[in-house]
Amino acid sequence: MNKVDDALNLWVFGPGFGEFVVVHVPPDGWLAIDGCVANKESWPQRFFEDLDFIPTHVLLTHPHQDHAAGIVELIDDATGDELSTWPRLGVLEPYVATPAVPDVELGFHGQDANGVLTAMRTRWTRRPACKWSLTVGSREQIGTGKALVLSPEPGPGSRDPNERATALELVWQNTRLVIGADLVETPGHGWSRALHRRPQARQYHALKVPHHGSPAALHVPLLQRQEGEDEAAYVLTPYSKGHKLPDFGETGGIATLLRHSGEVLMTGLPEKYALQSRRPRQWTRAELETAKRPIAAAEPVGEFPSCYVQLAFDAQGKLLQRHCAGVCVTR
Amino acid sequence: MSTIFLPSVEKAVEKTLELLSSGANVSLTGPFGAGKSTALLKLEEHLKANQRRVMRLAFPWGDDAACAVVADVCDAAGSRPSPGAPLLTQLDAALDTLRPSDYVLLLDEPRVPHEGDVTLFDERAQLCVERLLDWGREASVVVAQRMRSSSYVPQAKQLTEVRVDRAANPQEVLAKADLLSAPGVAQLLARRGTELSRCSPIEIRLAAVAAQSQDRAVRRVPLELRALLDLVTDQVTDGMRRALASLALLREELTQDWLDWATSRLSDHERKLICTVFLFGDEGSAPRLHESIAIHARLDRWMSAAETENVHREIADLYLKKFALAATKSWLPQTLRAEVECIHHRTLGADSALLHDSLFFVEQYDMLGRVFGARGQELWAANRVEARASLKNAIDAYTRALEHDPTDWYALHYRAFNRDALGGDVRLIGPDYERVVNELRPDFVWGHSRYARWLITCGRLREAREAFARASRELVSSTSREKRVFEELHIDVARQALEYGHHAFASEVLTQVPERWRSELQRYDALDMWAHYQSEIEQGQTVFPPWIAANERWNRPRFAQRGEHIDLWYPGVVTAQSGELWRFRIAFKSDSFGWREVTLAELSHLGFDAGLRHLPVGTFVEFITVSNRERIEVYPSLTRDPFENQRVRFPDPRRYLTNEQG
Repeated sequence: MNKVDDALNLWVFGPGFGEFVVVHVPPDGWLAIDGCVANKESWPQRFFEDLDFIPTHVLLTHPHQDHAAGIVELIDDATGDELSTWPRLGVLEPYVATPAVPDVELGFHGQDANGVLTAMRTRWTRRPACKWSLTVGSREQIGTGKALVLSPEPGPGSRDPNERATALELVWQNTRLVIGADLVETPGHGWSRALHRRPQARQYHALKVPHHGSPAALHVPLLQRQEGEDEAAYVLTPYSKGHKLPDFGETGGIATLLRHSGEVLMTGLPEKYALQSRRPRQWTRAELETAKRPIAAAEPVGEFPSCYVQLAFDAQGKLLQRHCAGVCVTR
Repeated sequence: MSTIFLPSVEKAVEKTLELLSSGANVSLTGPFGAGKSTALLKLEEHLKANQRRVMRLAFPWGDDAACAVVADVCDAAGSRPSPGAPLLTQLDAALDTLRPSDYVLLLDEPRVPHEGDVTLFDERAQLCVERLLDWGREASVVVAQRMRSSSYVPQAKQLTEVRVDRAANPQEVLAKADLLSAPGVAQLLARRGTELSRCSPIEIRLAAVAAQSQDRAVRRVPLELRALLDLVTDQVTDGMRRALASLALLREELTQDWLDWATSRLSDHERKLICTVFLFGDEGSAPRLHESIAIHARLDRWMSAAETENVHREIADLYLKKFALAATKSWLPQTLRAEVECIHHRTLGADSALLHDSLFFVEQYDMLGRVFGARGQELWAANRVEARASLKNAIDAYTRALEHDPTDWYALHYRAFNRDALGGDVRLIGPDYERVVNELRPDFVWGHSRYARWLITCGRLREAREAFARASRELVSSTSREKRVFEELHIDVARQALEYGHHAFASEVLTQVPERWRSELQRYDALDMWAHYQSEIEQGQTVFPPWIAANERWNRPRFAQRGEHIDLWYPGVVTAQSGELWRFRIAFKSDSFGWREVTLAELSHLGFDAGLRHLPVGTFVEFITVSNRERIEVYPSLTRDPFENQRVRFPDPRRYLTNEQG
């Protein structure tokens, strides 16, 4: 899981419960986005412990349970006595209350989101300079790269956190990533508005597919490549609670993505963590569509790290490393 | 300590005077209503008539009881404290001007040490008693108290115990109260005279009132104070109850103008009833509302909180009017005690103007902070917008206290707590909490607990773990308080951790509670279940409803009928539904999980009619096989938070998200 030197490194994890993204921007920028827990362990915390780095930026894209797990532990580790070393902490304000969740099990995780928001706000008070204001259109220096906030547009908007999720464009030299968070196109036209504000965002080399590949989040203009452009890497985390995502059917999210790229790199299948595989697997969409559920692994998942995808790009956007410890889905 | 038993107040007074003249000191003991305070009054009367200097000090109700006593001492010494001085310094200064050998010190119901976290106010009252008795080494001392207690009495001071019997002559008591000819009383005396003769005067009077009720046979009149008070309270009019509750708030001697004020809206008959039944006092002396009635009125809230606040304001206004009259007409000297009383009532009347006044004692600011803090909490529970203003006033009051005494641990702790409750500036909260637990009061359980809980709220988990571990290490070793430490530290810290989803932290804390205590701690089982449930959700392992305790889950299916012989059973939960297919997560034992898919037709065979009932995702079920026939049993839907009752209500867990800063 080591980082590739002099490269833009992207890691995407999940499940456990949640989705955790890390971007390393040379020489010293470490951006941690959202969170994930598995085996009673915070993976953001574990990731940075193992690599022996402290994040320079921590972002909660939206206060949903499946994105907030394990972030408090990372913030706690990264904000020691020496205030000047604290990372920049970002979450969109004003706070959008976690809406009532019909599934009581999921409702429990609302506490995680509130805890992250409280952890961030109380640290902003202690060190105002650590506040990363996520104003749409604003740029943040990360290492020698820049993160541009693509969403949400200002205004009262919806109270659904997915419509107000913070999507990011990350540019390092000539390499571009789009971290789609859970931003949806319908309702709210989140992606239309983001691309209207920032048309260049389409020219990404890798996309963290928004909202686990749900049809509501897959905005075709975001996926379409211009003539002469190479295929981009699509990285997707599954959602295994209640309504499972992505859908492997002919009209589902995976089929939509595969119309624009030869493969989709999934960090795991939409099953609980214990059913994931220790070894990478490759499936066609049709195989996944017809496979008997649940799809359990022959060799069940082990310790951290598992269920992840790592990509590394050089300064010109050339893919230097592609490691899929999850499931590679092809046409 | 020898004990002398005496059958009446008069005899007790006589004996005490005799003992005093022989150089002894006396502990006057007896149950509620026996007449101890009356005896002290009579003693004072006798002694003064014999040219002795007497200092009779009574600790009134309220957090500022010590302030009232010190004010009395200052009045006796003719001294006046400088504003904001520490209470005990003032007491020492006043006592230094008085020669103990000139005095007889009469202490009525002094505060004694008790188990548990001592509030600042208890602590001050106890220290006052110690200082007074220390000063009184060369004085003659009489201490009146319900229970014999020598723990606070200096070794040098030997007390002879005189025990006042409750017995009274019912005929005499009732004649004095003008109740002999009241309806039902003759019957009461005839049938229960012997029992009555073992009652205290207040019980006899109340029994006579109770007997007047025509629908109550005298044989059923309870002859026990608490029951009598409940009974008679129901019988009197609302106006009388309000008048008595108003009188119960007064702490100085009742003068005629206070009586007139309290009873101004009553009929002559009601007023007479109050004076004859509920008030005590010989002719010529000031009447008194018996303390048992006063306590009952205050604790049972004969008035609403808002009404009580208003009455306190009325009393404070009357004091101010009296002071104004005293200034113009040169009568009724404005004593320090009267001023302390005025501040007491303004405080309980939530008069925020007091924040800008100079109070005599630091502890008065502390009490002001406590009143505003408690009021803020009540207003918050009632969803009232004024809650924030009240909590801010509490912070201001504690800040005033700390201006005068920077080591006031109580003010530091509660300033931090009220700031936290408001989701205030965390840079100010932490240092206050830390100073209390690290430096000023390392034995203050609440202080440790609140500090650790606040760290959890802020997501400072490493520090929270350290703070908890340190507190647990230092406090649990004090075995006499073990249960309270588990209740206030372990249980509350675990609860806070669960509130924020840190179930592993909560489990760590709960496992530190020794097994022998677990069944005695009210919330333990529920929190343990909550932690378990959170962990199962996170790992996708829920198959039982959360309200079934972990150790009871695999005993037997909940839906098994009595006497039914079960061939096979296992629990499950619906994890997905697609058209006419349901998928269940099932378990065969606690760590062995599987899956089962059931079609609509199979559901029907299992005895479930999906046309009549829903089977949504998240529904818990049991598959039970009896005599080779399998059925499905369905638990009621889990539509609300099963741990709602364990949730932290105050301070609001979202307070740092809804405050104005960030």
